[in-house]
Amino acid sequence: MSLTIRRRWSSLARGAVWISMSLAGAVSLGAVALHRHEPINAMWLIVAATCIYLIGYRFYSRFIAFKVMELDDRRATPAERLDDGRDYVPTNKWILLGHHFAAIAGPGPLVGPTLAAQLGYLPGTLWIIIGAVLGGCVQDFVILFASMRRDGKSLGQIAKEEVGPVAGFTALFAVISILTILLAVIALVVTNALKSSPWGTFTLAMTVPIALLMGIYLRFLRPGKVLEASLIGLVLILAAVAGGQSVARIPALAGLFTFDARHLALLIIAYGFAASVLPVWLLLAPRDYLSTFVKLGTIFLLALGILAVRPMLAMPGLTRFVDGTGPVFAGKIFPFAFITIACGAVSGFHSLISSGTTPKLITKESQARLIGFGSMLMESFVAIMAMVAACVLQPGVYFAINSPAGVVGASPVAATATITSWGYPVSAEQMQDLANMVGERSLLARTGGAPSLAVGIAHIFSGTLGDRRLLAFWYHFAIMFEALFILTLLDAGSRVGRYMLQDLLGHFWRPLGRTSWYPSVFMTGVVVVSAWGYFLYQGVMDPLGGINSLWPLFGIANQLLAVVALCVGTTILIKMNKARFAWITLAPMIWLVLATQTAAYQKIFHPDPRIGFLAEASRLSGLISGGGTGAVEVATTERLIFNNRLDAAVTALFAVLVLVIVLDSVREWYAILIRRKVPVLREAAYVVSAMAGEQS
Amino acid sequence: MKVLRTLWKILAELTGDSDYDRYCAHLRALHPGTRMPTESEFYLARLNDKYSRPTRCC
Repeated sequence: MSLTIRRRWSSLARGAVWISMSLAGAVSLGAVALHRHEPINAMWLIVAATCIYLIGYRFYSRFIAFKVMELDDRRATPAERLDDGRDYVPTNKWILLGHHFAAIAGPGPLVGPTLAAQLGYLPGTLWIIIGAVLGGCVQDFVILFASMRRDGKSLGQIAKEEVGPVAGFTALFAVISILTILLAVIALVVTNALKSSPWGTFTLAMTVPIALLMGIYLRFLRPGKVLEASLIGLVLILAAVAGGQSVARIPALAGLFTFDARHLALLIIAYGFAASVLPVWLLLAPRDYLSTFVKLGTIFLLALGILAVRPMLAMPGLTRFVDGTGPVFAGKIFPFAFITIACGAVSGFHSLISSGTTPKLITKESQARLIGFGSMLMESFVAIMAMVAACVLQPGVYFAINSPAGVVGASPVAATATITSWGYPVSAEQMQDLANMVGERSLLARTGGAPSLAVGIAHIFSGTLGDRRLLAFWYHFAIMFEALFILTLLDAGSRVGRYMLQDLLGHFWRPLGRTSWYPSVFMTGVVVVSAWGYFLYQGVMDPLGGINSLWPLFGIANQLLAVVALCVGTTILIKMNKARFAWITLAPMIWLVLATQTAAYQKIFHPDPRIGFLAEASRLSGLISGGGTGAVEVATTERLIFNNRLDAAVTALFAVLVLVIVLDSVREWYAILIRRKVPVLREAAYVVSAMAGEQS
Repeated sequence: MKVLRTLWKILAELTGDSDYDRYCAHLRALHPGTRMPTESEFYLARLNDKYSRPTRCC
C-alpha cells in the first residue's frame, strides 16, 4: 500500500470511530431522556456522558485551543522561561493533570448532584454534561491559558489588569465571600453526617492523631517522604474505620463519641480555628496528603464499582418536585438545578486553581488543553457518578434520608408516611433495617447529601464484592472519605481566608499584614472562623435543615465567581482581536447571569416561605405576633428571623456584585469594540521556546 | 518489579517526594556554589508557600 492510500484509510478509520462515537452518545442520551417512566440502567448515563466528553474534547477543545486561543508550542511557557526548579518547573503533562484534578475535585461534585437528584436524574445529568462541556471546561481552560500567558498571575490580578480596578476588587471580594459560605455549608454537611453517629465521629476524630503522627514523621524522621507517610496513614485510617464499629458497640465508649448537631458544630468550629493557626506541617499538610489519596482512590473504585455492578436507577427521570415543592431544597428546575449543581458543571472556584500553581508548571502551551479542559471533564464525570450513586437508592429511601424533619415530620412513622403519600413508598421499619445494616441509629433526616451518597456508594461497593455484611464498613468508609476531605478544605480554606484578610488589612496598618505576627494571626483567624462558624450554627439551628438556605447561597456565590472568570475570559478574547469567537465564554456567562439573578431574586422575594428568605422572616414574625409561640421560643424565632434577613442581605450583595462586574466588563468591551480605546493585552513577552520543533 | 518501581516513581512525582532532588539538581547545574537547603528546610518552605494560596477546591 502506498503512503497516500494508507493515510486516507487511517483518516477514514478515524472518521468512522468518531461517527460511531457520536451515534453511541446520541443513542444513550436519547435512552436517558426518553425512558423517563421505566427504570433504566446507570450505564446509559455513563456511556452518554463519556461519548459527549470525548467528542467535546476532540472537537470543541481543539477548536478553542487552535482557532480561538491559538496555543503556540513555539512560545516558551513560564515554566521554561522562569524555571527555578521550585515554583516554575516544566512538568510532565500527565503528572500535572493528576495534580490539577486532585486540586479541583472536592465535595462539591459529590454533594450537588445528590441534592439535585430530588428532581429526578434527568435535569441534573443533562446540566452536568452540557454545562461542563460548554461552560465549566471552557472557563477552566481559558483562565488557565490567560494565567499561563501572564507568568501564572492570579484571577484577581488578571481581572484588575485586563478589565479594571472595579473588577479586580469585585473578584477579591467574591473570593472571600464565597469562601465563607462554602466553608459553612460543607461544615454543615459533615455535621449532619456525623450527628448521633459514634462510629463516624470516632473515625473522623482518629484522623487528627493520625495526621499529627504523619506530620511529625515528615518533619523530623523522614523529611519530605510524603509517599511513605501517606501509606502508613492510609493503613491506620482503614484500621480506624474498622475499629469504629467496636467503639460504637461499647456503650461507654460510644457515649464519648456521640454528639448532637449543635455540639458537633461547635467542635468543628473550634477545630477549624486550631487548624488554621497551627503550623501547616503539623496538621494541615499531612491531612491533605491523606485525604487526596483517599479521595482519588475512592473515585477510582467508584468508577470500577459502577462498571462492575451496572446498577439500575430506581429514581425516575423526573420526579413530581420539578414543580418547586421539593423537600431537599425548594424551587423549580430553573434556576435552582443550575445553582444546586455548580461543581461538576461550572464551578467558579476552579478559576482560582487554574490561575494558581498549575500555569507555572506547564511545559508546552498546547498541554493546557488536556490539563484545563480535560481535568474538568473528569470532575464532571465524578458528578455523574454521584448522580448514579444517589439514584440507585429507592426514591422513598432517598427522600427519607434527605428530607429535613421540619418538612416531613420528626417521628419515623410521620416522616415515612409523608414521603409515601408523595408516591415514593417507604416504611419506618425499612429505614430502621437500613440504619441497622449500615451501623447507624437512624438514617432519617440526615440532610446534606453525604449520608445518602454513602449509602449509595456502600450499595455499589458491597454489590461488587457480593457481601452485604460489608455494607456497614463501606458506609463508614464513604462517610470518612467525605468528612476527611471536607475537614481538609476547612483547614486550608480558613487559612487562605486568613491570609487574604491579613493581606487586605495590611494595607491599612502594616503589622496586620504580617503572617508571622501572632496577634494578627489570632485576630484574623478568629474573624474568618467566626464568619463561617456563624453560618454553620445558623444552619444547624434551622428547622428546615439549613441546607435549604445555605446550599443555594453557596451555589450563587460559586456561580458569581464563574461569572467573574468568564467576564475576564471574554475581555481577553476581545482584546486578542477574537471578538467573533467571544461567544465561547459569553454564552455560558449569560446563562449563569440569568440563573444567578433569577435565583437570587427568588431567594429574596419569593412569596413561598420555603424559597424566599423575606417571606419566611415575615411568616415567623406572624407566629410571634399571633401569640403562637411560648416565651422561650420567641427568642429562638427572633434569631431565625434575623438569620433569614441576613441571608437575604447576603444574597442581595452577591446579586449586586454580579451586576457590577458584568456592567464594568461590558463598558470595557464597548469601548474597545467602537475603537474608542486601544486594547492593551498584558501578556508576558513572546520568547521562542528552546523546545520548539520537538514533538510533544 | 519494574512496573512497581515505575508506579512508585510516578506516585513520588505526584506527591512531591522528588521535588527536593530536582531543586538541588537545578541549583547545582545553574547556581553552583549557592548553599543547598536541607531537605527539612525545603519541605517546610514549600508547605508554607503552598498553603498560602487556594490549593483545594470545592
